[in-house]
Amino acid sequence: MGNMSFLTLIDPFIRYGFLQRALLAGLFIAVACAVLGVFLVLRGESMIGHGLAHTAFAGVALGLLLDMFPLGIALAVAIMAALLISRIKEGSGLSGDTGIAIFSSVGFALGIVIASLARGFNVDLFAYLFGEILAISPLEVWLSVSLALVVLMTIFLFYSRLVYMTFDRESARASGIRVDRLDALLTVLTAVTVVLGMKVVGIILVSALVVLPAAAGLQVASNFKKALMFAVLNATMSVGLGLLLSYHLDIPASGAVVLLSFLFFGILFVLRKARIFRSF
Amino acid sequence: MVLSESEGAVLVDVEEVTYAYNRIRVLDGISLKIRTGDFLAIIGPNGSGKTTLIKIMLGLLKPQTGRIRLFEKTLGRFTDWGKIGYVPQKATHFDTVFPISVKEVVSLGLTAAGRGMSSKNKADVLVREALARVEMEEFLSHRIGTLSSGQQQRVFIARAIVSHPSILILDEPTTGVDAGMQERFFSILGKLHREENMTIVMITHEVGILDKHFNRVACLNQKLIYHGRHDEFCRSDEFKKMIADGKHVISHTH
Repeated sequence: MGNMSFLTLIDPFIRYGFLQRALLAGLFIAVACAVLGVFLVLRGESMIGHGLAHTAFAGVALGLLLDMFPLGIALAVAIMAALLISRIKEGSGLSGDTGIAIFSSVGFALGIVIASLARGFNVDLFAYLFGEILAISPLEVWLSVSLALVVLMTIFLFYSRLVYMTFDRESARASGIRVDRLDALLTVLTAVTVVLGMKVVGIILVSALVVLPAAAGLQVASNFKKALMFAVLNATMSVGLGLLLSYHLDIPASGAVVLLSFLFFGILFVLRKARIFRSF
Repeated sequence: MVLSESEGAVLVDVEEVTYAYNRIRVLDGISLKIRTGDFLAIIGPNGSGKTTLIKIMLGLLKPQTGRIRLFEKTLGRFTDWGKIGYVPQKATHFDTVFPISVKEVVSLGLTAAGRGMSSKNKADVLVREALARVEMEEFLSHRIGTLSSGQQQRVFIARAIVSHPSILILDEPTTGVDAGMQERFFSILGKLHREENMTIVMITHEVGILDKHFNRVACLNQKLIYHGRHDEFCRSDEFKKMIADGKHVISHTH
């Protein structure tokens, strides 16, 4: 009976191509967001995802206006903004937060203006604002999976240096590690990941996909690898179960994914605060 | 065997270095050589440029004038960072909830630029060995935030020595550490100096312990006031005045 219920629950994943595509892309994007999120949260840069997503909104609007692949243009705009934010942090005298806030608001304002110039794509724009993973095209699936793999492989390649820089920036520099280049790399990876995440939960909620799983992992982990593991677990469970809830309860997938991720975070937070366990 | 000062090769050569923060000069024409076998104390009042000098030596700050040579190479050409171990001033001032184990912290010392990648097994052996050298091997899987500051400081030394550097540079490592832990700490450093012939450079405010642990002293206050053997310095009027007045007798000039 239990098996029957479970099979009934996951049956849509077996039967429908659109759900399989959403699950495949969603899981890869979730893993990239979670892994990157751990570095960003520990660097005190939780809001960078939010800022870059707002900047990418201008790219989406431009893509829709020109009728050219909006995700691609959003990617290019977000990467440019990421590199500029890195430069601002390095030598402008403005704090990193200020750079993020400026690009975030200017990007969003630009998006609104472009959207108003070409009336008629409001429905498409809403799909990017609030996410529409269930409508993801096969091309977007492969693009998402490939880019998520590129993000993960890059992090794997620079893993020790990124951990070193995140934990003790000065000692990392004194070891000859070029932390300025790693900063730029991490920001560009964030831009790529955020644009991918937009497809799953939308521009408005994408930073949640980066921050919540990471914050959940940090509640319970005793070492860095476990923090990554718990973050990935939170993110993938949220996407998988979120898609199922979305299908069965007929609610937006983006909302379901983010609320589930918050639920997992909340449970771990309360358990840690109540000292039911300290760390794994 | 520990080499005497005249025998030792020059590992760090500081030549006429000047540095200012917002036009306030903190280092003025500093020249000094650190040689193999030195157990050098860098002393001076707060703001005398001790930490700035160390940061310039390590390439973390660029001097306005002068130059640095590391292992006979100019700083720009030096790539073998595994030869230098560094424990910064605020090493223990990290976020204590940071999820990183003692093992992971020490492994970071193997990522220095210029080092080849170690295999996982070799890295594990090096990490355990480094922790044993600072008497911390039983804490391998502990989260570093759960340790006392004295224990954390020993883990950071393990990170600095895991690549078997020729020189270890420490910036006020005993600040906030109790007397018992401080003694243990110097015993570990002494062992590294004697048994591994590691050159040690340490910024300290504890002038009362100079004659006990160090063989060389550099006294800074913008300019290099003294650089030489510790025993000569300990006999000097300057040192006697320092002891009589407390730790920070050299007045601030900015």
